[in-house]
Amino acid sequence: MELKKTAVAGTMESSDIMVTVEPRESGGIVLELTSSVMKQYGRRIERVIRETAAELGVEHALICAVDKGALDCTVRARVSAAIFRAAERENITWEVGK
Amino acid sequence: MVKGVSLQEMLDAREARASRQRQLLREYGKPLLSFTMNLAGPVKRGRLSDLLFRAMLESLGRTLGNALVYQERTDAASGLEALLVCALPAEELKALAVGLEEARPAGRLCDLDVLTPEGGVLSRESPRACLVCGGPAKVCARSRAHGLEAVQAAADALLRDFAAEYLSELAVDALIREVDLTPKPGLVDRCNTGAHRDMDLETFHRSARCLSPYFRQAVTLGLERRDCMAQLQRAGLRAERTMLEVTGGVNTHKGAVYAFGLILAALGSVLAEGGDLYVKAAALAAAALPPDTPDAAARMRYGAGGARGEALAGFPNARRAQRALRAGDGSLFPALLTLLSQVEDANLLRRGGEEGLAFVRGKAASILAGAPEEYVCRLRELDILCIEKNLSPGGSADLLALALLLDATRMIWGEP
Repeated sequence: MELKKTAVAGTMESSDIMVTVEPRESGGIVLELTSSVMKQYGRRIERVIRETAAELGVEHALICAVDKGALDCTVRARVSAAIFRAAERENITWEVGK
Repeated sequence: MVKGVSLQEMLDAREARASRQRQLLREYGKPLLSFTMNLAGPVKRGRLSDLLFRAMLESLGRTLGNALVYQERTDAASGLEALLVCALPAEELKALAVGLEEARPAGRLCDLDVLTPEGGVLSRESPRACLVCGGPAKVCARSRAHGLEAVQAAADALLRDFAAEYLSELAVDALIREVDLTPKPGLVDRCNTGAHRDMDLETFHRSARCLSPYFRQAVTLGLERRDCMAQLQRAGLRAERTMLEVTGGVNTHKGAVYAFGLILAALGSVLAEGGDLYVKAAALAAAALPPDTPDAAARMRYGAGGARGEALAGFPNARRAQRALRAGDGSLFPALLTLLSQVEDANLLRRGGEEGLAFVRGKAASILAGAPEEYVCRLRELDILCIEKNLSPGGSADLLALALLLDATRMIWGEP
């Protein structure tokens, strides 16, 4: 998916994650992650974010994620939403993955 | 009421809330309190959690007072929420919010987030404890360590305890507001002891406070099962004994023990399963064991003639008084006068016969028909006459207190 602009999805509430996706020309996926459960779940959240970006065919992007204890399904939904918005395809609906 | 919401609906609701928060922060440039409920699982609404939300919002409003600049509420399947713009430093607001969350165990189920005018979120200093194991909540929530059922069961227990405690507080408060209302003809009030020599204001206050465990118990009985009259009668008997100990043998609230017990148990039942409050309360009254049964406990709260009739009929007089409270715009006098002019008060009959009853009813009807500015003055005159004639409309007093309780709980049984 081609990213056209910077876009955000999510909130700073607990059990949520705020994801900002910024288009890049090169350099692959650069991820800046902070999390309230970094020690226990940092690597897992990173994996979910990278997987979701890959599934949606995003090759280069700066992804900033501020996590407040979101579950995997929430992480996936927020990353997808941010990517769709960045691609200016906001009206597309999708199934939230398990 | 029990409709679940999808993850996507929850996520959309959070983004909508965040966007409205930004709007309000821009518009007012002041700290913002965002209040939501913290309930695990897909069902975000329920009678008990709605009650907690409303009670918490009410104490927020009281605590904030004039510092509350603007408030808006959203009622959605995804949960109740309120946004409050406050003229207080953000740190002070956060301390106040944490204080309210921690004032009751069920506050654990409330999320009071404070946003600074710049849009930052102030987090609490001590992280929240998991409902099930007491460990750090965010870790257990992330790992789903205990399963949804265990978390919901713990939350439900907190909500039930809250309902019992909160309704008991409202009940005690209703009794105290009734006795404090001054002037009341022939009754104990803040000015005099009416046509009584064995009790005063302090007796009533002590008596009201000592009933709070009984009130809690009545709600809990109703929450557990709708046909709880046998247990309620036993609890009522114990409450009467406590009352007599506290008052030195004076019957201050016998009528209230009966009627409040019925209504509180019925409120518990409405909270548990819905349905009509007055149908439930009347059914409980009808299930009372008659006084000639060998069970000693039953002999008590069968209810004296008038009180039992009122209960069996679904509390028509108390409801009329509650409507008068609504219409009275904060004044309790129209409700009191409505009761005095209409109720067949057993206490008046006992002391003054038909004549005494007719006297008070006639006077009250005439005062009620007159100008509201003269209510106080003319009630004072009637008070003097009632004291002379040794008349005390205790039945109407009980019904006024009950109307105050009904009014304070109308969010449960009345308007959605």
